[in-house]
Amino acid sequence: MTFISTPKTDDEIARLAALKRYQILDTASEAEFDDITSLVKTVLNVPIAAVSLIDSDRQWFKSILGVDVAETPRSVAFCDHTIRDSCTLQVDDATQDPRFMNNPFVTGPPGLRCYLGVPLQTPDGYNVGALCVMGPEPRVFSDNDSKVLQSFAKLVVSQMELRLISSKDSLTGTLTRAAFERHLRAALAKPEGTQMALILADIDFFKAINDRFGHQAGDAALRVVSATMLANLRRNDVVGRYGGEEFAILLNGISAKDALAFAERLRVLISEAGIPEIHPEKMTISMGLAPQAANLTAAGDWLERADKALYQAKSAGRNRVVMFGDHTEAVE
Amino acid sequence: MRSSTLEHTPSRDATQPDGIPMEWESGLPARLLPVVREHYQNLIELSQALQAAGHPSEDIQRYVHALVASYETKLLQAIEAEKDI
Repeated sequence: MTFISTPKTDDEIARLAALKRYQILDTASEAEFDDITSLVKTVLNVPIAAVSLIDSDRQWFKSILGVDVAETPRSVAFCDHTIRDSCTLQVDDATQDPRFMNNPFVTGPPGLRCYLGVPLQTPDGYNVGALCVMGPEPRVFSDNDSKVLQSFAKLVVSQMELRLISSKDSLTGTLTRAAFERHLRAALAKPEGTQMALILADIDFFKAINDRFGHQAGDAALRVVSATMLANLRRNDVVGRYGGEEFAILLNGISAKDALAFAERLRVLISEAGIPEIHPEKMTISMGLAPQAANLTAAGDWLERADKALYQAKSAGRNRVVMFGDHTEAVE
Repeated sequence: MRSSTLEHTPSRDATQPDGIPMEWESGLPARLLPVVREHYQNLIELSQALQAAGHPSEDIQRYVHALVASYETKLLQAIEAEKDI
């Protein structure tokens, strides 16, 4: 049994917040994680290897090799036991272990018997998931196997850290354009009928702010806009810096009407925000809103719709929200 | 598994005291440096764990090589993203 540093296992809310910070759940597969699971599978000579992340009520696999499953209920996840402790979890024969002998993945396909899992512990001490290997035959893993898996688990976390830091714009703390587009593509892969909306927002007369008050004032304006957006997003919404003074917001599980109301509220909040660097002037933003539609399958098309609506908002005098569609609405 | 590029394999001659290859560190945005250092240290620990477990050194080199190439791809994307805005 190999011990790692003491995790914060008694604060589930903070643990879930730590997991959400990575913005990795429900994203497409990424080669660097698949490369690690592939090597783990080879090195430990096991049929199944996975990077498992433990969400509030499910286990979601960022990478899994050897079995075709994307997620499972948390209640049946071996890895849910792994994250509750500070050491590796080893199961030599699940049919002999009271915790797992009635587990559907033991009693049914793929007929799991052995398991070795190491917590994925974040730098701030939260076990957000586990790197694990499994097989259909009983097996006693060695201490060296545990240490090797533990080393691979640290690599998974440092890979997640790079992914996190490289997905955030350093000035505003919002997603980078590339990271936002990953979310947009993942959103389009959701089942038809899922209600979503895309907003493109652009700071009005940003060049004039820079020219008149200097680039530090421009940076301050960007930070105020991003902070206002981040403070008002719901848990599953994302915002990215899409260009110099342009932001993109993806609203999940929202009707067009509610998205319009959200955008309008945001517009008002930003127009009322004080920015000491440009005082007594105020800053405004224009927004183009494009709800998800049945005929939208490409991220580029969706962005184009939002961009057209944004263009209309600018053309109509700025400081307003325009929704793309036959019944274009402008709110000022 | 993608093929790896030998020219980016960290070599002993090209490392600094903290173990980071110089060609990685030069030009890296400051905010990426701590995570790159951490990852590199983790690679060293993995090599040691594999060695202790009795894996042949050529296999270890191959594994680390693949992991470095994999990480490098993401790192380059991260550096490019810094230039996007």
